Amino acid sequence: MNDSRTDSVLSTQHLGKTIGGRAILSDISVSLDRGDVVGVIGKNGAGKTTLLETVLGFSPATAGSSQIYGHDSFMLPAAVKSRVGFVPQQDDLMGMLTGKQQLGLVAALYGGWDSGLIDRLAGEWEVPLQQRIATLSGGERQKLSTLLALGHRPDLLVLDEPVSSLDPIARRRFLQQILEYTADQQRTVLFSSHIVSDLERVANRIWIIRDGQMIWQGDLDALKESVVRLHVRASQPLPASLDIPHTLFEQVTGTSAVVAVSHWEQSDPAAVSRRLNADIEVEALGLEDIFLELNR
Amino acid sequence: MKGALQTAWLMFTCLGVQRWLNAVGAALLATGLALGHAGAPLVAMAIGTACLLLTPAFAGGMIFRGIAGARICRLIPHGRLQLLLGLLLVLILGAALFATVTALAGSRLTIGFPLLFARAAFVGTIALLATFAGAVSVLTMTCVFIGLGSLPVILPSLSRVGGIAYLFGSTSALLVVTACIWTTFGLWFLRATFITPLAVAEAGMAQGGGIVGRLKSSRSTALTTFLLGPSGIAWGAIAGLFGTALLTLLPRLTALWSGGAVRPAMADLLPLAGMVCVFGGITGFAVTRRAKQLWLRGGYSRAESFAVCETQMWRYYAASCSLVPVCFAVAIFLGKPAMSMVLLLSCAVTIGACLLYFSLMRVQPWSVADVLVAVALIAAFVFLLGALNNAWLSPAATTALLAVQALAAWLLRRTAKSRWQRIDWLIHKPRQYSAQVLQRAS
Amino acid sequence: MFILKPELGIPIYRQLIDQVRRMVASGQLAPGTVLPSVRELADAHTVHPMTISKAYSQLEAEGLLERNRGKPMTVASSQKPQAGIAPRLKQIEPQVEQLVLASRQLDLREKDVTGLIKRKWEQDHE
Repeated sequence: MNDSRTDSVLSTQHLGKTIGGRAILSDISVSLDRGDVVGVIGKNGAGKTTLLETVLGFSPATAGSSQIYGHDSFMLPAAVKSRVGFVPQQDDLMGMLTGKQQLGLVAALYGGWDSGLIDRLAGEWEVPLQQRIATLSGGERQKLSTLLALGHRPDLLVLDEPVSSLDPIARRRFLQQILEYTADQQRTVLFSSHIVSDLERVANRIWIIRDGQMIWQGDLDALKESVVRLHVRASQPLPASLDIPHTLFEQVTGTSAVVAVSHWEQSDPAAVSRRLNADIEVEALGLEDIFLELNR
Repeated sequence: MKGALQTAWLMFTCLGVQRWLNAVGAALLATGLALGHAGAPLVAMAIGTACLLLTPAFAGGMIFRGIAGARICRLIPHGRLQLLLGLLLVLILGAALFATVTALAGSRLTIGFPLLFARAAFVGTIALLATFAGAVSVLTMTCVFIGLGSLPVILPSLSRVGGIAYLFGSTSALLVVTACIWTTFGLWFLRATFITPLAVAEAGMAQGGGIVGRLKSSRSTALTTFLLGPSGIAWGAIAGLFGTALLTLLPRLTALWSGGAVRPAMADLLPLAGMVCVFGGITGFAVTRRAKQLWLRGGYSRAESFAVCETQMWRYYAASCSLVPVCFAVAIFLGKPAMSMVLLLSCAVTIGACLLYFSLMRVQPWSVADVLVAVALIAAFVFLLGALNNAWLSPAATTALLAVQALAAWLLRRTAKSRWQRIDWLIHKPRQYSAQVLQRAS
Repeated sequence: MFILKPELGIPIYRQLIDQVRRMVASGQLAPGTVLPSVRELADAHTVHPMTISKAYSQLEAEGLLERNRGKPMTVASSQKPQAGIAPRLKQIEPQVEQLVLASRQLDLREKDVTGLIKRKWEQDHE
């Protein structure tokens, strides 16, 4: 039946994308395994949407390559496309239709459609299906967009800022649904979001993009153990630069200093403390702070 | 009153394509002026004026609604008044430019500058306000465009009606009527509590809006709906019907009214042929952008998406021009030479096919080749209508022309097909004009 | 049963491990107690199940938890709540470090601090 059910759902090799002379993405090599929930974070304009749309094959890569389920992204066969669901940042809903009609049309295109699931979710998420889409609020449109991508039960779900217009309750429900959807580790989710707290909950891997390059891709837990903030206190004035490896940001004021570092798990705290002749307090950072430090 | 000046400036420079048109138009105008006012320089000046005034005339109302509909406009002191004055300024400048260039045509014209200005101002007013009023839904906009597009054809017939002839002959009458129209509009505009923003209409336009009743959920309906909008083919049929009716019935009615001949003249069928040509390219541009959904959700490869779009567009084209062969058949029945009729219609259809495939080709940024093809198509269009009107070409030559056009259509199809292999839907997505307008306005 | 805060700098699995260790050491989780399944815990806190199973795996490797065939995770029966002072002291060592640091910053003497500790201790016993 399906020989492409390898564990590698998505992978890219030195992916690059240049638009109008500007390099939006450069040298991105990532991979996604089955069961992963990956969160992509980056500043506006860092290239998140371009990355998602390029790996899905909407856009040809200008350098490197990417594959989904072993097939080249640009030439995805229909069978692979039916295993992928995509929620774009700008929804492509037709204002003149009702939610039910729009769902019906997309269902007709896919063939295999779980209407029971969609009806249940539409009820839980409070999406009015009988109203014309043009009259729905931004949040309801986003929820409808997400439903459109879930109905055919894709193995890979890609979402571009899916919750930006949702209130906290709706976001929580959405996250619960995502977890439920990937519960048996057979499905994979890739989503980009500004709402870092959501990613902290549900994601097990994080990709951080800055200026079109992937500056971190790995386990969320490993990230939290890697990027920390050090509070240094000495009894004598500290040198202007403390020379701690992998320093991201350093602020020295007299006998104390605040240093943000990465790869802390590779360092020897005792050795650093001895070298500087100071006390070091390690502050573990939440994902939002980590993101801020990595983007300074 | 800086706002008024800014509004006027925006109307001339808002859309990206206007930058090109303005540059070309200004260059042609300047060259024409410098080289004297007769012969070729005059043509250059005429084209230059058209370049400068075409966009404000046809899209001015839309742009104006884009600015006026923005809620922020209400917060600016005297915002609406400034917008209105800006629009008036655009009209006056445009009419003045048109009248000046036409008057410079020399002694061949018997009408002086004031009358020219008054006529231009009147027609400009109709154009601006009609497009403004029409920019609320696809239905109204299509009708407005068809109406405006057929003005050059129906005006001559209309002007045979007594009252209108008087109006067009009297400067004072025209100016008075124009002033009345503006006063009425101004009063409404300044006091209107809510102006439908362009975005609402645009959402409809981007998605091919229409009235939706029951919608069957089948694959074929899905294809048609995603590409052509919820009304699908019906849309094209209605627009085609409207156009055909406008171009055939109106001249007939005015002829009856003013006591002229009712039999169809060759000149009356040419506009129909022209309509057939133009409708070929109407949907293409929007359809290609909407194919993105089909690619992902329908599982079509890029080559298959091309085939699907092509099929849908031909269906749409056929539906919109369905009545025209009937009109031609009637003309043959009423005594027109069958051969010329058939050739005329065939030429129109092949040019329409070229336009259809040209619009399918437009999935990449403009290249030199694209511009050359566009120019060639416009030239073919003009040549066809002009030549057949003056019966310059014999049936044999016309048949040869037909063959050349068919070959061109085939070549364009091949180019479109190969370009579709590399469509980049990241760049090629539905445009959001209102966002563009608002961005420039702020 | 557990308090998990995703927004903290401490990874969720670490928080869970620490809490389980503390509760086992203090006797709150008696040997043989059945812990919630990975799915239950993940659902309850809306976190990724893999992070829960990571914690459980590590605790199992340490010998704190055991998994019987077919049955969910239970606290290992070989755990004795009073397993010597040293591991338990290690549990509160971070808090003591913080206390010492804060006291030094406030320029307090060791005597003052231990006096405060003594008072608090007696207070709690009443």
